[in-house]
Amino acid sequence: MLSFAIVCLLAQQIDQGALEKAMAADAAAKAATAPATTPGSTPAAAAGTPIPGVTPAAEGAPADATPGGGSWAAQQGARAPGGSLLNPALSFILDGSFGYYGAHTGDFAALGLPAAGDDPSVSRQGFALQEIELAAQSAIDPYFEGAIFLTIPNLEGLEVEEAYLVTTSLPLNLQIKAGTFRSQFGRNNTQHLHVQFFTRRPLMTALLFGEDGLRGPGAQVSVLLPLPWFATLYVESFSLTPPDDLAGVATFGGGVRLTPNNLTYTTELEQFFELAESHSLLVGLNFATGRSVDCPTAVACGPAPVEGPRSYFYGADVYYKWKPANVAQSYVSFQWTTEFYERTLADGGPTVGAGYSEAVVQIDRRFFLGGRFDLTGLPSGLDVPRRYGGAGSLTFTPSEFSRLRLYVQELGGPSVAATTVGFLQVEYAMGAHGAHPF
Amino acid sequence: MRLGSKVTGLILAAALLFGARSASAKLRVVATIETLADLCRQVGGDRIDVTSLSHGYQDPHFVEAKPSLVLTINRADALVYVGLDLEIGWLPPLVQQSRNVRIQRGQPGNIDASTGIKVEDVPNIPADQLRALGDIHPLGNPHYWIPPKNARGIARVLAQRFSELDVAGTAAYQAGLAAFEHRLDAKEKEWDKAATPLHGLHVVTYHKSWSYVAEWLQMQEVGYIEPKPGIPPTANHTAQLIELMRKSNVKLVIVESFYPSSLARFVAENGHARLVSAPSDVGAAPGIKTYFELVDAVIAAFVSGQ
Repeated sequence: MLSFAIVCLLAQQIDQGALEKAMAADAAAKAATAPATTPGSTPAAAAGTPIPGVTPAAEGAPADATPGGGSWAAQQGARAPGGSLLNPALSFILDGSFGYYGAHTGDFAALGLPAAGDDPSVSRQGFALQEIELAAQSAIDPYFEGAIFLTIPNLEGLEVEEAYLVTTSLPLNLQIKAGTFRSQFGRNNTQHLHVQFFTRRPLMTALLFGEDGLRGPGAQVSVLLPLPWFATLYVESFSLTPPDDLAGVATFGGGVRLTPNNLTYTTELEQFFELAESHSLLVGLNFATGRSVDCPTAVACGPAPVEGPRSYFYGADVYYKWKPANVAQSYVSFQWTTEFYERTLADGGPTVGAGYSEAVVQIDRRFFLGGRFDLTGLPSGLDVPRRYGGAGSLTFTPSEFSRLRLYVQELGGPSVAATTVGFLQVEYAMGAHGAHPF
Repeated sequence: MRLGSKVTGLILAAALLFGARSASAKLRVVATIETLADLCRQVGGDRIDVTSLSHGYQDPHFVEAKPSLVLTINRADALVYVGLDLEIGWLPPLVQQSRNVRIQRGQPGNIDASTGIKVEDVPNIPADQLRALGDIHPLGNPHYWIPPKNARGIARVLAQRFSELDVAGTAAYQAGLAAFEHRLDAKEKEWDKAATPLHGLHVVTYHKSWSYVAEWLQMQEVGYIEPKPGIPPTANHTAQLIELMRKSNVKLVIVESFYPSSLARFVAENGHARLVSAPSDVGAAPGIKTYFELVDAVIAAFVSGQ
């Protein structure tokens, strides 16, 4: 992996555009010194020579001071008025909530459903700071962009949700991401809390992906495939650690993190189809394999890392969006997401599955109505019981930087009492936060 | 070692094959809005292929960052954008996902059109207070492409940058720029004459996106239907605005054709003004295919409305 990355980095040093430009400039210089010039040619053909009538801005001149400074060098010299020269784009995002998990203590616990790390804490109902995120994003140099996302979930310690660099200039449509980051596996797993239209993550997250989702230290290589439509293939490798709670089966995190045999490997194929100007379809196929942590059934868990059975994790995600190109006319749009995954343990181990389907309708410029149906335990098995969830959310966005959300979820399943959870969520963002992908 | 050299050589060769543009091929240019795409055509003529990422009937703040646009950017030799954070909500992830080194920031193919104009409305307040003014653009007002002096500045930037990217075409880009400026000089006189009745006219606009045009046509902006940029109108603000319009003798309420006109019509009727739904980009209406047709349509709309 490392040698491949180095080779790619070496390869990117040769910029074909620059090569052609230099060759053309050389040819133009020779032509300019020749006794006779070709009709129609001009010595101004040399690279960087100003065109008559164009006055390049002085180096370092502000963008608003000298109109007409058109050269590339002038653009590099221009800087934003009052901009912080070398600071990354910094932002803080806060999700606060007020609510409860069931009218009676133990209602939610009886369901046997763990909460995701950035769900409102089960042990701190009432007022809660569901998550505080600090993000720093910046270009590192001409070859990399970097991002760091620190979070404090439920006021319980500082976590590194993601910290990675991404290449920007590899050849062959390749891109490498390295650091600790969310796997490209699935759709919800790639998203931070504030991107979502629901207060709690889908039930499958904590059961199959892990409490904090499928994320960790690793590396990713992706390629934009040379096809007429958008198709990107991702290959990732992670060193995952066992979860804090060793009582159940965790899909990954078993074994020694250093050993290639114990690393977690994933691959995803993401394809986009523009069905019409207003209709978009994004389809993902996902596969992962690694060592599970299977304390109750496979091996005894001790303080030392143990190698659980090989786990296979696979499924698909579908995202459909209808949004008129001129959404400002009506402010009505619709999006629908469905994901379903299964996990199979090696050597005839059980297969369990879970998924969800959710729809969000923009009913006005600032109002979004959402509904989600969760299904876990299809098939059911150890630690993934059959449970149902129906959730509704109403989101009000005073501006692009704040949201208020009312969220209600009914949870139940065979032979357990149904319970209702409900939250009023407030979210705001300060600072410059990068735009999110489709 | 020998195997490593071969692998490196293969990757270099493949990089040249996949990433290169042959000497005879056209410059592939991607512009974020249709007006910039047309200005590229005016300057680049037959030497370039131009694609616009958005349509003139869309709000350029909120273009959908569809992955299909990643493919378009992936193949581009140059990316021309409005800048001043107009496209900040959708362009950066597309550029990062494109894996195209030629158009990344800092590369010659990354062309910020705003470097060709004098930026107005740069907020002069502390950064931590900016958002209290709404979804304001901290680098200045990005709705600058309609006035002729700004189109001229943009065209000069394009000619310069295309020449740097395609040295062999410098003479052609010079010729394209000269032809554009020649026509622009003539049209500017025509527009100035046609817009004479607009001088001194008091106007209200939906969004603060007509300031450059108002300055060019010597119109005076009295207020905005949005209480603050990007913030939907409120009843209180609307009532105050109507009162202000009556006192200030506002003649026109200008709204981009992509915004809903119902509230603007209410404001115009109650403020004793006329509503003008004006195009703000090439492609806003089927008959507006060039920059010149866009400005023709804007002037005609304003003059017929006053």
